[in-house]
Amino acid sequence: MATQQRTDRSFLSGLTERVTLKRALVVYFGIGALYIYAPIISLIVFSFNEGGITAPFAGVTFEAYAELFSNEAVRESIVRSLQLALVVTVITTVLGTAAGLAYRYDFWGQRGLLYLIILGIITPGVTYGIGSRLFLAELLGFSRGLWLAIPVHVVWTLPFAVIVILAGFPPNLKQNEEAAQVMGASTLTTYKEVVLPQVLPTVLGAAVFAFTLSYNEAERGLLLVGQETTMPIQVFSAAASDRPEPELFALGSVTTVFSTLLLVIAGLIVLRAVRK
Amino acid sequence: MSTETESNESSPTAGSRFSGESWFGLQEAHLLSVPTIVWFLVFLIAPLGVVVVYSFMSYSNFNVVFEFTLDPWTEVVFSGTVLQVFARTLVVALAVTVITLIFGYPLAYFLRFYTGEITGIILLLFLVVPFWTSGTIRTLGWFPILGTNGAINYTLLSLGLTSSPVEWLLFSPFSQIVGYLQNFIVFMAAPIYISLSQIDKDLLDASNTLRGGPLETFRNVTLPLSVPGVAIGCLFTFVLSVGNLTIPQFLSGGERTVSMLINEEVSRGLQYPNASAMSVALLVVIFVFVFALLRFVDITDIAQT
Repeated sequence: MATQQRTDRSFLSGLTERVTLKRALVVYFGIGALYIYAPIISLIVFSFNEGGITAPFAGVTFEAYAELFSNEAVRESIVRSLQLALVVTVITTVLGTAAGLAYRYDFWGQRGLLYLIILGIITPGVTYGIGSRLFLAELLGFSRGLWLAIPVHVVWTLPFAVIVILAGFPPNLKQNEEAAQVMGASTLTTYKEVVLPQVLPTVLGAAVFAFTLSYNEAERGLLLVGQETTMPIQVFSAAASDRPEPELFALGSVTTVFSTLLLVIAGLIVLRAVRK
Repeated sequence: MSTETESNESSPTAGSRFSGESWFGLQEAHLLSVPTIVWFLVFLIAPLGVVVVYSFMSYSNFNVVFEFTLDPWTEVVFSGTVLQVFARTLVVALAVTVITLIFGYPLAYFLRFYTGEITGIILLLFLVVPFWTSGTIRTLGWFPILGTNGAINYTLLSLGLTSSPVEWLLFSPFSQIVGYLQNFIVFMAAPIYISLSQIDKDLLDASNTLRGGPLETFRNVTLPLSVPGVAIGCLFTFVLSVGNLTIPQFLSGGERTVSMLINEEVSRGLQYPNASAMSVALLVVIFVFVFALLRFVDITDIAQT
């Protein structure tokens, strides 16, 4: 009886400790989330500010947005970034899915490929930007332009895509594949009916990830695109040469809204695929 | 039409294919992986090799001259000022990594142990949303908050807490830390979260049964098992902050970093040899960091489920 009581008490004190820790962590998470969102909130709020990008909030205006949509250079750079990101995403998804699927087996070079993937991530953007410029434009003599940034962006997006795909493969993929084979399905049928449907949500996630990585990448393509600047390059040079304009704040707000929508849609698709 | 022959062909090998060691399995794996390997060799390894070669080239009249020289290394990389910038870049990157770890770990811990699995992932995705906006614009978002005429100073002044605006909020070490931490905290929290997710809850119960207090359980069970995630998070944070161009450009008080120096060499006079030498040196520094990390931690642990 006495021991029972004692364990009860220690259990209780453990519980209260847990509850206070939980409360502290909930508060911490809230503050952390607010902090992570702070610059985004600031972009959205001050893009509507009549007084420009300084406090206090003077009144609502859409001037920054009007300026943004009438700025041809920015608009064109956005279109170029979207085109580039789209092509990069397609190549990345195809290559990344294939490479991820290769890891169902042990194969010669699997460690080497892993090192290449790590190298792609840890190479600083400036270093790689200079290397690709020297190799592709100076040494091989390709003329600079938007398309020359495609292979360079893929080198940046592909490692992340492979990692996402490897992390997201269903653990029973192999068994299901074997089951299909045992039942006499051909390699092609197995792929079409078993492998690809199972990895599809992950592949979609990797594609979305690759798209945003490419869309926001500046340094790697900086020295390759020539006059055909992408949105991040345009923004960087505009902000570096001038004081920041409310127009850029409007651009940030629009981008945030669009990418959130894209993320929600992708999330819903993945959830539906998982439910099935 | 060919399905029958195909299935006929594959069935004899089917048994051994599953081991992944048969000739057939090997070939499929290579068919799948070779395009990616070739892509990396051509578009990553070759450019990096070219950078190394260019770092030994001469330069005159805004042109690279193909004559071997050690000048970019002896005159630039190992000169006093550049070494100083290197040292500062490294110190900042290490400080940023430690600070990000301290603030990022509790986030991951909360998501793993105090929310459900689905909720945890959704909350993590929720934290990722801001990173879908260009880093430059996101960095500019701090101006109206931290600036002399920013929201914080406005609040402090109207409450009468200060008589003049606080100057050290922007273009200072403080604003750099604020910017770096905001940029990298999720990159730190996410791998730690994955590591923590792989911890078997029975282990924690076992520690509890053995009368380990929450603190002891954390120190002896949770923390050691989350080391791979911590290592990957530190790797991301260190590497990304060493190469970051936006935060020193827009949030610092004008102190330069290696990546800024490299950028200036190119944009001022296409000084590729100097830029190449500094780039290679930067890469070497990162290699040393990663290598040291990998010696202590096997990060492939995290890939095992």
